Amino acid sequence: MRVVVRQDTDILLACQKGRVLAEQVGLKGDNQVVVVIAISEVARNIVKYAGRGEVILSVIGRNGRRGISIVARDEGPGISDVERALEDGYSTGGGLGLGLAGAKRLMDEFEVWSQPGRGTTIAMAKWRRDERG
Amino acid sequence: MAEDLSKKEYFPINSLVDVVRARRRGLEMAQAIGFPLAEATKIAVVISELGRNIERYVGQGSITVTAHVEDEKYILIIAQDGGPGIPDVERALAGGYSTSGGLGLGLAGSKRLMDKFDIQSIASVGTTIKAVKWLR
Repeated sequence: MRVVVRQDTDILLACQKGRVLAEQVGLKGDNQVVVVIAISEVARNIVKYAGRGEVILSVIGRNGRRGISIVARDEGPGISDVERALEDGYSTGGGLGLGLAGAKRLMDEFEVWSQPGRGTTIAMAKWRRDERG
Repeated sequence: MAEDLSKKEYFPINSLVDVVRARRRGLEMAQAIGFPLAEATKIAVVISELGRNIERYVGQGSITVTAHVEDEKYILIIAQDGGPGIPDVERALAGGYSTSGGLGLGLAGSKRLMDKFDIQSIASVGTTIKAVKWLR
């Protein structure tokens, strides 16, 4: 499912959809919150830096395990220094202040592709804990 | 074993800078007693959330973080303020959570990240929240 992100209410919508999907996938309560936090951070970055973009949420499976994939995409200014953006404390502004660094630490998979002037794509995944293939 | 004693640290909360300091130190304390980074980050999120609530709704208060290592290992967070109190604690805990705008993760979201989450709130006296996460 795809959520177009342009303003704060879209962030909220993406978070809500992510929460429902995380519940459907069977993520535990605390990891449902983790998914919401991660979506919130990347969606907020879209609103703040790119103005518009999208968040794509999907259920994924691998070796009998289920999980949730979150892809955030924009054609904004890009992140000039990805390494630095992933340092703790880089973001102290809105949201939880944990920024991308916090999202990365909370998720099982996390990748950033960014080109200055071309945009940013962030792909993350969180897997169900209790299912081992 | 570098850390073999329980540690307790007190953080006065008067501004967002104080909140950032408390959450960073909380993250370090949790990692020092063996919490994996993702679990320590959940603790940091809760410290951040409780600290922001104090800063936003009351203006000043404190957060005490205890890293307990004897018999069992856990992190205890105590957030205290002398503010107006939470009018309806049940509702605050039952409510949905979001992280959008100024709404924050909410107490409901924070509770889900911890193992134990108790709120004592008295109108015009203040609020004390105690939250525990055990190391498994």
